[in-house]
Amino acid sequence: MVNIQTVLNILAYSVTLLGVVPVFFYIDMAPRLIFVASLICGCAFDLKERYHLHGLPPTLVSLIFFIVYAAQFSRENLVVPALNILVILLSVRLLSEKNVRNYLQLLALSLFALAGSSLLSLSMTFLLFLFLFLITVAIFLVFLTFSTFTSGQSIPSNELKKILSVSLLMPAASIPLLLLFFVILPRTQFPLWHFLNSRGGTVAGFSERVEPGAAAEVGVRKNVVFRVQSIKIDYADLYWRGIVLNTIQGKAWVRSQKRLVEEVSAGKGRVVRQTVYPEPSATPYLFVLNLPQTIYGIRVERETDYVFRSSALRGGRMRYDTISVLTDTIRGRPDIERVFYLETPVRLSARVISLAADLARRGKRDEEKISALKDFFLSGKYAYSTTNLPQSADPIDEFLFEKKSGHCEFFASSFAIMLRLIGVPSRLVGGYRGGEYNTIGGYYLITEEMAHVWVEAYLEDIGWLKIDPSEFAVNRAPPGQTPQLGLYGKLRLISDSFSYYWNQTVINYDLEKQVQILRETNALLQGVTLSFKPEKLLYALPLLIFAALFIGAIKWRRSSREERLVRGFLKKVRRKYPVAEITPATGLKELAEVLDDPDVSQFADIYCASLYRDRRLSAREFTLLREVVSRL
Amino acid sequence: MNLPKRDEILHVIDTLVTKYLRGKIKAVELSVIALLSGGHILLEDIPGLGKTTLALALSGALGLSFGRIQCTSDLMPSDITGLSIFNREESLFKFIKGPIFNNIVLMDEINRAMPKTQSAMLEAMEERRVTVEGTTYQLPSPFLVIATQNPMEQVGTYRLPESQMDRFLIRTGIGYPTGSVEKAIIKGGSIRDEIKNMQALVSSEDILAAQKFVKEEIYISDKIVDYIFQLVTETRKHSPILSGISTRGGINIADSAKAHAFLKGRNYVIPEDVKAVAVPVGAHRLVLKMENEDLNKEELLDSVLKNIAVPLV
Repeated sequence: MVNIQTVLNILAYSVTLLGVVPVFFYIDMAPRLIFVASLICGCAFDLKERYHLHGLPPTLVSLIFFIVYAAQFSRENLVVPALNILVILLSVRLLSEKNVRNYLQLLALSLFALAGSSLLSLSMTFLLFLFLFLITVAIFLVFLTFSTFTSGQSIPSNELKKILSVSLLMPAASIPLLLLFFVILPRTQFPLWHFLNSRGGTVAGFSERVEPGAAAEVGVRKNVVFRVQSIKIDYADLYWRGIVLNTIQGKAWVRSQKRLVEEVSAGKGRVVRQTVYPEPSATPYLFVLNLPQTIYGIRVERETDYVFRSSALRGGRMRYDTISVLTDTIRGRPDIERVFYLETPVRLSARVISLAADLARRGKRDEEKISALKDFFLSGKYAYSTTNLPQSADPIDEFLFEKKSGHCEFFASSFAIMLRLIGVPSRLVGGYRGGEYNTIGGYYLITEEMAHVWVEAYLEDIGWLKIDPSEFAVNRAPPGQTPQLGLYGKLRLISDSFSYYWNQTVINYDLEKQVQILRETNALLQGVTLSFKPEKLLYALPLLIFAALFIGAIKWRRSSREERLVRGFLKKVRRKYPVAEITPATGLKELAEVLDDPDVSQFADIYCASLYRDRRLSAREFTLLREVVSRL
Repeated sequence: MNLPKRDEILHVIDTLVTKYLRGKIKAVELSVIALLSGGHILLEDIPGLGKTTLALALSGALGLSFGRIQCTSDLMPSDITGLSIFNREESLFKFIKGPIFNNIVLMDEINRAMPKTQSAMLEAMEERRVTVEGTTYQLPSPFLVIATQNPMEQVGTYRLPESQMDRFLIRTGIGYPTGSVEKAIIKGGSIRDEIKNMQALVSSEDILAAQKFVKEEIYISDKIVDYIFQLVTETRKHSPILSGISTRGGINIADSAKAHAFLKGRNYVIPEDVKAVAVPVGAHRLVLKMENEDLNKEELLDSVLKNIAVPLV
């Protein structure tokens, strides 16, 4: 016997949790705490069956919160306050006495909360939660209806099972519909509100402006920026080019509005084709493996310093195919605007200027000057760090002569400024460095923490040459070594592959594209002459066997042991007496009489005595019958 | 398995079949089934095959009172039920009971009686009581009517309408005995005298106890009920049949299957019981379509039965 009220409460709490957990980390701290507290108190109240909160106070509390959060409403900030209110209302409902009306309110509020979460994130977990939610709600509603129509306080557990199976039928029946809607319904490709909301958020990682010394510390964020379907590439070549910052504005490097036209071409190197799947972001710059040649599959604006922009990227999640050449040089004619690329900051410390003069004296040609600068960096024992950063009025000076530690922005911008000071045109390139190769999905995963800045220096007879000053750091990991993944790392890898396929098949799903693929397949098939290759069947064989086993197992599980027993018995009898006419209309005793076989008679006697008296076979009878069958 | 009075009843059947009614085992068994389930039996066969002998022997062996009605076209209902006669000495009417007030009533050639009499008789069979001149008289218990009719004779007969056929639990023929048995019967001559002097083998209390047991203690599972229901609905859907087995027919099949199970020594019904009684209990209730009237109802029902799967799980 199971108490209906307990079942209903458990279901109600499950529904509430399924609704609130997906939004839990988006809402404010106060509703979070209130929700947890009222969840605990609600459970306690239910156990004691005494509810201390009713009437005016809870209504007043929820009204106050409503006013507070409603005041926060704005066009940009709509979802989170609404979710805060929802969670507060849910918390109040959890505390009050559970009756049908309150149960239904809980259900509706949870549903709204879950729906709200889809505006903030489109990860696969939403589908999981949605599925669980639907199933739980179906069971919950059936139970609720059941409880209002029965007078008793409890139900036998076998009836509980019956109710459960009936309620599970409903969501199961909706799955075909779900598939249908998947194909025909339009969808958004990125979480609308969250995307708009986060536009003004904190920037740690890639940015369109490099300003070393702006913060004392840089937080590490593991957010996925993009994924690249690609073959495996040497770590030394993994530079994802995004933006070129060519001018200095105060302390910061930015991209000049000036359109520079240079005649350039890529150096020699291996050609690599890749497909990039960017996560939704606010930047219009496309990331491509250095050095990008072509991007197709999307409309792009190309600039002569190999920077690609696309306004379409803001529209949502998409993909683009790229062709890159693995090279460090951009060949160009020596008619670049030297003056523009040699501009230095207005304020420079005397130490920096004297260092530059010293370095400039070491060589006549640019190459010699550059190698002198490299030597300076290498001998200076600079360390790579993201904490305790130089933060004075002149961070470059502080980095070069005092702290001697900083992240790539310090290395790159100081190196580039030094280059300009010694008369070599230079610029910064922003993008990402490295990438985690997912062997399961065959793609690189690039996260925000991999954001990187490096330098390009112009040499008269070579062109633009890539230099990564961060490589000169003493604690830089030797290239080409990927750390061994622990269990957690492997799990993360697997879960990310799921997320990758989810994005590719569900979020990026496009009916037009699917139809296109179908058409192409059709066209392909028309040209194909049917040639039967038996070895191809070999691949299908295990699959078929597995499917057959699976179906068989399901059938076997479904049939009761009695059914299996009779089936086995009739099979044996048919084999032993091939002439005997056994139809579905033949009774067991009839068969025994016709065949005059003591084993058949024994089976018929024992089996009929249990079957037609609606009594289950005892274990002893069952084994006895099994023996009889095996004797036959 | 302890089935009260089963041995006694089997003994009756044995004795009757071996000594008096050789070659009539099926008819005897069905008669006993009709008795045990409280129904009535219609023997349909040509004269001279021992219908009357069967009824006489049964009543003799069971130790029950016996009444006989020979139906003719001028037989009045009061000839069956009895009538009130004025008693001069007491100066009042006294009811004289008719032949129906017996445990076993043989209605010979029922189709010769006129419809008015037939329906009076059938009503008494169903109600188990008779109302004469405003007074209701209960018929004795156990009560079994054995009606006979000759299917060949057409002149001067009133065919029993289908609605009345439905009131008989069982309709069966007797059929010719096998060659050797018939020879032995011919050699032994008529056994009417022996039957007159028969000793009762059971008492009416025994029969009532057995009836009660069959009615109350024999278990009929839902699976069997499903099986019977399937049979009944199939007859209604079968194309040569105009109207299939009625609900009363279904009840009767279940009741007689119980009695059959009792005779076979089981306190639960199995599909074979249903199969054994379905044709004698069900066939005469079928009404065939006009164009199929010459089909044999027994064979038709048998073919329906052969297409219904027995419940095995």
